[in-house]
Amino acid sequence: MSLLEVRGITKRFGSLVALNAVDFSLTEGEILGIIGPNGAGKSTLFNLIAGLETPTAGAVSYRGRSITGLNADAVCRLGIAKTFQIPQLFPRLTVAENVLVAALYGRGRGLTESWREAREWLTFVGLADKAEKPAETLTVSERRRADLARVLGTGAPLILLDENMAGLNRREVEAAVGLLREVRARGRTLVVTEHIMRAIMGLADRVVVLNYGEKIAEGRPADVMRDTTVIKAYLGESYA
Amino acid sequence: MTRWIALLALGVLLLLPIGVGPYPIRVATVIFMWAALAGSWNLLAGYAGAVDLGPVVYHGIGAFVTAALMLKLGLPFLVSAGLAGVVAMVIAYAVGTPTLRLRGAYFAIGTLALAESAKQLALAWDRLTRIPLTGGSAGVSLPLSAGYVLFYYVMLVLMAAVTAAALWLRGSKFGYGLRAIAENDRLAEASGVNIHCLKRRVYVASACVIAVTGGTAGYWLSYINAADVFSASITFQMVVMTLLGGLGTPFGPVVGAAFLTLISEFLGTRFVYHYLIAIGVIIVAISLFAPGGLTSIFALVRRRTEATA
Amino acid sequence: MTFLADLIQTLINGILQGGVYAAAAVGLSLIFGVSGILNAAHGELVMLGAFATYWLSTLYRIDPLLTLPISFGLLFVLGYALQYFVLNRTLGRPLLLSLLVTFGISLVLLNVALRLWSADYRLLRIPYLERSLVVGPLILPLARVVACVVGIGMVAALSWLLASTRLGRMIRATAQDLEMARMVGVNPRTVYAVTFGLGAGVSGVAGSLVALYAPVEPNMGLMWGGLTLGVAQALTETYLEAGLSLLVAFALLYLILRFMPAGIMGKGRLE
Repeated sequence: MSLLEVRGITKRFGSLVALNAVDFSLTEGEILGIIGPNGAGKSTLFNLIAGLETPTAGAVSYRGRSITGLNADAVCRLGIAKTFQIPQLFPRLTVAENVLVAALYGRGRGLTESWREAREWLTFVGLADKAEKPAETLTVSERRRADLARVLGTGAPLILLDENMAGLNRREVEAAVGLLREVRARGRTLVVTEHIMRAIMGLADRVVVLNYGEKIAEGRPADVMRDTTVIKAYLGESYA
Repeated sequence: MTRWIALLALGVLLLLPIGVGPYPIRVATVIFMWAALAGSWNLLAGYAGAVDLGPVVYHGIGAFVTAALMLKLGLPFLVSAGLAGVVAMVIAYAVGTPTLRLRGAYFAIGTLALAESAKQLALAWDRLTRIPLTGGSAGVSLPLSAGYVLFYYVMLVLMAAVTAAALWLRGSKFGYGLRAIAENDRLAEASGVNIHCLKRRVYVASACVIAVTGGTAGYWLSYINAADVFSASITFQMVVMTLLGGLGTPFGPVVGAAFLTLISEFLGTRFVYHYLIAIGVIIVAISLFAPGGLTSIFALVRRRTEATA
Repeated sequence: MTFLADLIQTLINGILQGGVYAAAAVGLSLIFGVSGILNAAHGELVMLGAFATYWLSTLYRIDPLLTLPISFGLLFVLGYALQYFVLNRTLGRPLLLSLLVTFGISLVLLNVALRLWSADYRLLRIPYLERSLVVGPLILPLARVVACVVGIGMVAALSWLLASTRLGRMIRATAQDLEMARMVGVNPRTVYAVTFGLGAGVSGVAGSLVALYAPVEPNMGLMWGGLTLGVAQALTETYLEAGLSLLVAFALLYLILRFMPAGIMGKGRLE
């Protein structure tokens, strides 16, 4: 049985159709890439799955259970957590407390256990030395890692990463890709949106391509990259 | 350390009525009352970041329900005040469920409107429902039969309860959930925090304390009037005392309440207008030069002395 | 029949009152919308405007209607100075702090006024406004009609200023995106000061308009404490059951708050 099923999901903002009848499914342990130009609907798709927005039509189910229209906190506790395109923090809590909140509430553990987990995830993403600093003092790349640690802290088996590598330099991207492989090795399923093609090609088992809110292709990364519709969407008519 | 000092202070306050006369006890009771009210407001505004400008609703409800239970059913004061707290909790649950979904300034303005509506409703209650409860603009008189020491202890317990709750919030799971909501409510929600449920719990709990305090204050004054017990100036005093003492700190409301009450006690009777002008200037000065409140000054001094020692 | 006429009459009084409330409310919401300041001294600004008109016309025999621009000017200067010298120091701090500061300011203004003018009620006598317009069975007190028209005119003038002038564009830019406004060379401190000046000026004129038909006293500001209080008050004036109409008012306000996505000018967050 698939872990996540998205069926005909549609979101309209007034007359603007951000997503139109998108379907896809996900098996446990997979890394799925979602690619597409700016404004293709990637972030909207994530917000709909994570319960941060309500779909106009369509349905999402997780482990066979419908989660359409549930609040974000309920979705998170059921097992789906997402990072934010602009990394979000609790600015005046310490970095460790940021992850602690996720462990306490997303995972529903007690204080002692949660503190231990928060520190473990901070070590995992390489932020152990910043644990006691207020989160607002972190740099952009540190914020991305803190956001990842928070999502891991919720204990959610399914993790949605919204452009978690944007704004990172080449070496940081490589480190991030390695980290995500390690996350998968620890038994999590990942859905990743990304602008950086190179990163996603080396990471994803399968990609879904969105353009203007529609799914235009799906398949193995290498195959999708040869698809003329995809090339057109990305680079314009003249390259096809 | 702080906890031990607080417990020691509580011990001294428990024994205080043995050693001193009625006047200081009366002043102390006023301070405790405001500390309990401001402290309840601080739980929601200082910890969950929801600025409620209508907490006085529960003050008024507490006063009238306590009075009605004592006058109509002949229940003893403490039972009546406790039941008033329960009534306030039920109402707060019903009102809070939709209202707490308002965000930021909209919550502030919405609760302000709520308080004003509640006052008007209380003034018109007897005429509208034909159930005598608030006495309209004439108000309700209560027979006074308790000694002043009773009020001292009730208010002391209320203040201590609120302060203990704030201390508990500092390191508890619930407290971290509230601080997460205050810092970034959308992220808190995405991290699994049920923000409406957590906020509602604080709202309901603080409504209970405010109602019991209001009921006690009403009995103490032995006269209640809708225009007074629902007055927006009570809300403002709660807000001002908390901000002066230190928002989101366990002892801020106590310090703010003591500061303003003592100033008005010593200066207020002699220089009515001048004293209020001076308070206005002090409030502006503290907000500009010590925006963390008076407790932030203490914390700074303590850090300085620790650094030099 | 008489009941219906009475009802219509009181509704008309309420609507006439509404013009003045609109002016006062606009003063409050302009400041809130642009600088995010919940101005607790709003009612005192209204009160000072009322006293400006009262004293200018009783002491210097200036026609009450001619005092309106003077009242605006005085309150503009006061508002500008308050923002420039005091409230600008709270920029970048939690917005609740501005509520505390303006509360301090309101205490000072109210008690200075009480000290200077006592808590007495003072009523302006304006013979040429004491007439009424009679339309069929309805009576429209001239003073209230004038106040309403001027109040609505003020609101219109302010909307025009915001929509179509260079100053208005600067104010709107600052309200929408502080960083962008800074980048194109707008000094937010000055814009905030001008905004508070305008808001105070409009609120002051609203006070002056009240002085045309109602008594003036320092504590009148308490009633004018906020937009919502004004709305509530306006509705109590009608013949409908006070409590009932207030519940309706609250419900309306509540719905607006729930479903108005971004607020009056796009700023709705209080830290």
